[in-house]
Amino acid sequence: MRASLENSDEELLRLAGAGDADAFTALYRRRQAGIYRFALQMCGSEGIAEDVTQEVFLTLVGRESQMFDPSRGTLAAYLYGVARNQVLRRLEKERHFVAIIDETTEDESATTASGQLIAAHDPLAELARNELIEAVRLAVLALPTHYREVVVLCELHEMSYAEAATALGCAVGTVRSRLHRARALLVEKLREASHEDAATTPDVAPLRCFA
Amino acid sequence: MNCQQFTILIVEAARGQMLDAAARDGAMRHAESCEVCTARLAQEQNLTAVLRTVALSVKETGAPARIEAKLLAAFQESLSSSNAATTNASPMSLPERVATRAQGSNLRSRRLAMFATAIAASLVLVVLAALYREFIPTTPPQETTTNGKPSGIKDSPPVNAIVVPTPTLATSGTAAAQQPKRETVNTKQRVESERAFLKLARGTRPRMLTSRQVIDGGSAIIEASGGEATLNGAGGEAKSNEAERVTEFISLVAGAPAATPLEGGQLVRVQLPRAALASLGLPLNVERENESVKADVLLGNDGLARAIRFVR
Repeated sequence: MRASLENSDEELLRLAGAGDADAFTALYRRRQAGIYRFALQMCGSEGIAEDVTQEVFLTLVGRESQMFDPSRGTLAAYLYGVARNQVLRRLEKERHFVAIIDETTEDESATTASGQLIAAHDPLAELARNELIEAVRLAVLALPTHYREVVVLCELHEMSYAEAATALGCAVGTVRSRLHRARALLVEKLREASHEDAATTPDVAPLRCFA
Repeated sequence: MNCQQFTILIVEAARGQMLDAAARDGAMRHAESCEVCTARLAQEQNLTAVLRTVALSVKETGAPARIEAKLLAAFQESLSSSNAATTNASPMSLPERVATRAQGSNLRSRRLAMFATAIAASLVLVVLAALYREFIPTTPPQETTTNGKPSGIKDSPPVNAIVVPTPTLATSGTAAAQQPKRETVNTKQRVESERAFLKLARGTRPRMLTSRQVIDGGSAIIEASGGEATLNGAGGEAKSNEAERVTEFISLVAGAPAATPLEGGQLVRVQLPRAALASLGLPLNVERENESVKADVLLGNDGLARAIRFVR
């Protein structure tokens, strides 16, 4: 049996376990983008996202592929769970370091991340949209980890509560309540960011003159 | 529906998720009637739209092609390594990491087992050491002076242990015998000799023997020459001016079999009050009760006193 697009993830994994490289490739191509984006949106670092993606799919190679238990959820949820553990490990490891923000790199990465899909019909609208996307991206990254992961899974990856709960290893109600709280925090952060932008904008008139 | 009930459903309503028809209709009716809730619903809908924009903006983003190439190489390597019996000993690369991951999990479990065993062994050692300190009072031995006369020896109990400056059993000459050392009983002959002492000492009244008489069976001779003990090997000639007279060894191990195995130990010279003779069932001259008497105590490797003999 050859791997094809009709095969389910579990069938592809079984074929890959039997030594079918095409099945492994098909499975990787089907799931790598989601895992990579999840890691990228959780960490904000392309390097870490690449490492996490690599580690996640390494768990499907060799004997470790037998660690997946179909009775506990889908393979996609399993992969997201592995990615989440890897991301949390990386975040914990890098918790003691302060990132040196290179504005040039930030701008470039923002452009590469967000500018791929946007047609440049209206430059001003595109600029405003890019700024908005970047602001949301930063606000999501500023959320506490347990809120960030539900926002990424449920909002940015459009997972259902049940799928997210399986990936995160928690109850559906927990996902729901965390999402409510996370959205409220996100609104607050975006509001703060917009106020900061307004305050730093030179042409905005001050509310009160202290002269 | 009131505002509180609406708050519970607002996120699902803004995200357009499946809601019970009655609940959805109730939420919409409340939103139409409540301006605050209308504003909040609009805000949540805006947030949902923004988040979807962000999700769309990176929808085509994926891992670089080099990750796929690496993983495929790792996959092929794991296949070949599972088929091949031999393993490559070169430095770890990505495919090798994959191939050795399964072995690594076994190694981890083995290491855990070894770690647990080490902890258990160290705990046992600590307990044994604690028991040893509990039951064996350790009095630091006082070295004798170079002329063999003990310094700072007191007659009052408890026992003042004195280490006799005696060469090791391996020495046959007198040169090595000049250096004071703790007498270590670790040779086979000595073990046999002490074993014989223990046998003889059981159930017999001690009698005075010369050291030559005692040690002849064990192929070693302890002599005292001018207060300085020397040791000669088997067949060695006694060169003492004044031989010490010693009793047989009296077993101090209650209930121990006569032929108690003795793998090694130490012979320690001590000075005891004469009253100690009575406690061991030996005759005691009451007129000299306040005087002290020399004795050799045979200590096992565990520090326990196995036997004692008195020296004159």
